[in-house]
Amino acid sequence: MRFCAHCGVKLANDNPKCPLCDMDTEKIDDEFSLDYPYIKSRFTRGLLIRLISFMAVVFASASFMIDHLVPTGSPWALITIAAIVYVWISAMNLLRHTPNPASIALCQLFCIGGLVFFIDFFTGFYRWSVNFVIPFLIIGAAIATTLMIAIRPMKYRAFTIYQFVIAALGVLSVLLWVFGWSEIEWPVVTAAGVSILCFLAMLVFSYRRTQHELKKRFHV
Amino acid sequence: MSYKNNRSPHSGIDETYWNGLDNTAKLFPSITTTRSPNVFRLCAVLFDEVDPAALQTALEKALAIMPAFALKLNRGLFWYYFDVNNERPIVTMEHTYPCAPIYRAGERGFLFRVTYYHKRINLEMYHALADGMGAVSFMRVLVYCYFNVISGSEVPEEDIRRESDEAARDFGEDSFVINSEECSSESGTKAVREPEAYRLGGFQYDGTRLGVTSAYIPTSALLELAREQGATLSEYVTALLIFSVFNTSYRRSLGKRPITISLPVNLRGMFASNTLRNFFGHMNVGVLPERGASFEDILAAVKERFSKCLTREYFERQIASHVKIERIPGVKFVPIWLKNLIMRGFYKSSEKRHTLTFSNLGKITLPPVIADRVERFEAYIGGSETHVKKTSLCSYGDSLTLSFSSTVDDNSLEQFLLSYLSRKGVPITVSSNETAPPPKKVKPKLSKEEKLRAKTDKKTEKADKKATKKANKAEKKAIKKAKKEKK
Ligand SMILES: [Zn+2]
Repeated sequence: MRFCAHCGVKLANDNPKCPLCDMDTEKIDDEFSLDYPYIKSRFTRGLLIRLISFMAVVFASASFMIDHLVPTGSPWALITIAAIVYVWISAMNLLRHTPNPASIALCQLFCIGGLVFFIDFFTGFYRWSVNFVIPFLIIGAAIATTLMIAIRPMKYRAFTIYQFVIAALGVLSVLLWVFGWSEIEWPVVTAAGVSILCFLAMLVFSYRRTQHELKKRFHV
Repeated sequence: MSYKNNRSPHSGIDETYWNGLDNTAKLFPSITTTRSPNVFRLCAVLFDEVDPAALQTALEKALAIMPAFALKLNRGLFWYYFDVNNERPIVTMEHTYPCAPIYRAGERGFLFRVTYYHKRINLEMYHALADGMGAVSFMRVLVYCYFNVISGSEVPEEDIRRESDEAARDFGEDSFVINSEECSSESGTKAVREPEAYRLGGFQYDGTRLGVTSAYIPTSALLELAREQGATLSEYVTALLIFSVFNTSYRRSLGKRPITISLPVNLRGMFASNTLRNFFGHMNVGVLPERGASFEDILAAVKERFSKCLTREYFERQIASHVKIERIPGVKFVPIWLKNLIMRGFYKSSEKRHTLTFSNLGKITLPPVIADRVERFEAYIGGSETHVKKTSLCSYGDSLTLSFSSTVDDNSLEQFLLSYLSRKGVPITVSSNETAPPPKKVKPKLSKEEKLRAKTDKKTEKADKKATKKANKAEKKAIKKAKKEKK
């Protein structure tokens, strides 16, 4: 133990300085206690987030400047920026969450959907994104989430809510065709059908669990 | 399905259990950030080093006995809710600053954390799950189970089971709502809006760093000091805190704002509740000291304020006003993100009305079988963005711990308070987490010549290795050839 004459207190730890007044202390016996570990300042998640965000801004502005100085007439800079935004959102999603596969799937569904639509739109709008990619993304996400819940219900039953959202998106995707954005009917109808069937399957095979899960989410 | 089948393997809780948050807890998720994690720590200091494996088993046992803590927090459309967490809680060695964040948006883990460091068992709790008293109940069971694992039948498990079964009968109840029936909000006078309080400043640490300083004081010595002045322990320490603020940083301010200590008050005794969730009220004790005010002046003002506030009526009104907000028609159906926004606003304005928080956990007791195996208990309140210092006190037998947690590098308040006590003749031992870095492994400095030699040595080593490899290969080839020739 040590003693600080200035404050008149004994010190349990073996620090040469007094934690209260920062003055030198004297040793009175060899006993001391280890109460807290030494914490190294580490590379934290906050720093990583800032680093990734800053890099995204750097790349985006670089491509913008190059496009401005060397005009090509092609929309490559816009597409690059869209890709950077996609990478940034995915990185934030992965960094913020402890692995939650369903939320990652939903985030990817939105981001990839947005990205392909953007690319398609700026390269002549041949409608391949709305015709095929987005409906098939919805089908993929619906099946993946259903499989997760079916295989490990104990761990993933809280994902019912994501499945519910995906089913809603599937239904909404029919609007793409209704409003004439997509030219081919069968992919959107398939997406709506598959996502609703997946949700129905949950309802049919574990009605009480699904109902319970939705009740929790929407309780007032 | 039978109840038994619904029990998950680790938690022992009914798997379909879920519950809304209690009235006060509803606030916490909306105001939690990395720098205001709303976490507090309880720490049991043993006489021997903690055995990690035994602590792990003890934690699993304790959760089976008190499943009310095996929960995670999920977000619904209108409210947050607790959901069963059937994962296995893992005990780790302490490797972060005290009261590091537990609940972050998107993370769905346990709402508490158990760590150990040498002789210490630390239980850190997210405030939405329980208040200090709830945490003390869990800590008692955890420590009991630890000694049960260590010494077997000497510390029989049945005893703690029986005791906590009794304690946990209404573990999940929202005591605020239940007791609000008998609380009338219009008990005469309208609550006076309290003035904005003086606040401590300073440049805050980065990230989740929290400096903690605890003072170990013999309970009897401090009690005697308080009794000499005709005050209770809470009153005495509150006055001491105000006096210390007054004599340190307050001097540099203009001195127009009151120094206000916010005291959480455990309402379980007052309202005959036994909940393990939150059930506490707040009491703001503010003093506007005149120039050169003595400790006795301040103590007198504090005592007067205590006697005014520590009444059932005062807290009845508080509970009623809390519950009233929840009962506004239509408020239920406001989406959670909007509720969060509103609550954050309310909280920010209420926060301006105190200088410091002082939480008195009071006397902690343990069952007699294990009472002499624990040296003391400590309690710390986690940091906050807006208030740089928090204080708490708890006692166990004759060892009382007064602890300060701080997010600034300025200990003048602690220094003033503790040296004041020490001048009054109270023996004090101080411990702090300002730990010196472990000695670095120093690389011996080499001169240029030696460096060069080392380099060439390495090169020759590499060349040697290559040569031996080549030789080996050649040998193998030769053997193969020989075999072929034989054929
Ligand atoms: Zn000192």
